Amino acid sequence: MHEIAIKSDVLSENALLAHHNREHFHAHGVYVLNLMSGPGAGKTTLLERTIDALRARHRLAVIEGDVQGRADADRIGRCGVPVVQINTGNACHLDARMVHRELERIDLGHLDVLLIENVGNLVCPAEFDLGEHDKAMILSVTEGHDKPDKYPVMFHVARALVLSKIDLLPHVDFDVERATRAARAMNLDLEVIPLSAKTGVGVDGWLVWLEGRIARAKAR
Amino acid sequence: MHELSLAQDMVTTVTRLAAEHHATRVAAVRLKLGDFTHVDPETLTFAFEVACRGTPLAGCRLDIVRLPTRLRCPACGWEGSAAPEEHLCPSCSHLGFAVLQGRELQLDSMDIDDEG
Repeated sequence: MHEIAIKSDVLSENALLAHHNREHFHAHGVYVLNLMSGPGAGKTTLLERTIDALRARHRLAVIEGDVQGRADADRIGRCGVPVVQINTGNACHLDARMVHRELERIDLGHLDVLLIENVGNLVCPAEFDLGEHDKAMILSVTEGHDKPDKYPVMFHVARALVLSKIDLLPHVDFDVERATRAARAMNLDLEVIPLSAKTGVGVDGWLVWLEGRIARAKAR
Repeated sequence: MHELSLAQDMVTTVTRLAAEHHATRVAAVRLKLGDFTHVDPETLTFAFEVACRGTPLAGCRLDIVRLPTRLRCPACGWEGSAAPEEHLCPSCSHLGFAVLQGRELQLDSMDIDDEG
């Protein structure tokens, strides 16, 4: 018996496919955002707001990731943009392979921005690169300000953190300052954006950040 | 439960490398696993055993080497294994740490029997 060195990342298979996706996106000049959160943080509502605001300037499409069903895809479909539903079955996250498979159904040549709504989960999506430009995550104030301490990896990999449902702040014990500090402790460059997709407060800040990221990706 | 999909990827990689090395048996696989990942070692061990069943790797042992999280303060160079309760550097009160170690999820080596 003898020992053979491997030195290979377990996620290298996913990384390879993510790289492939990234090349597709780059070739067509498409900016891609991977939106992650726990279930019920408001990903779909923020997407609806985002689509409303961006559609005049950009050609948009959405990939919806859910364990089952197409309720979210139907909601997004009513916004009038192309939407592809991925049902992951038993998987708790999207991976690069699933996204790659669906790219055939999306006309990248006539697209500027692809928004990917990941499966609602604060754990697994953090580990899987999809080939996106940016990961953004949403934490709703009803979930509690201790979440960055409990699920630090997700906050580590995100470029922006949306604190959602801030219209409910008077009714919950959520310390915005503490949540922000805890999230930034593990992520020096994290952009923190408090908003309410329901009332619209703070949504402009989100759109400014997103437009900036889109412009930056296009300039490359 | 992303451990199962990780285990399946591990089995695919190790099976391919074992064939390249003309292995007749893979006795053990060593994995470096950082603590700053959302991967549970016990779950991964079980998932690996399940993923190996019915493949040439059936019965292969998984040895997990844990790598503790190591943080570094970019302002003063303090290093530690966990962010303090208040999230500030215990040495200079700077907010925000670089993660030096802990994100590893790497197949390190395998023990094989070969035809030679």
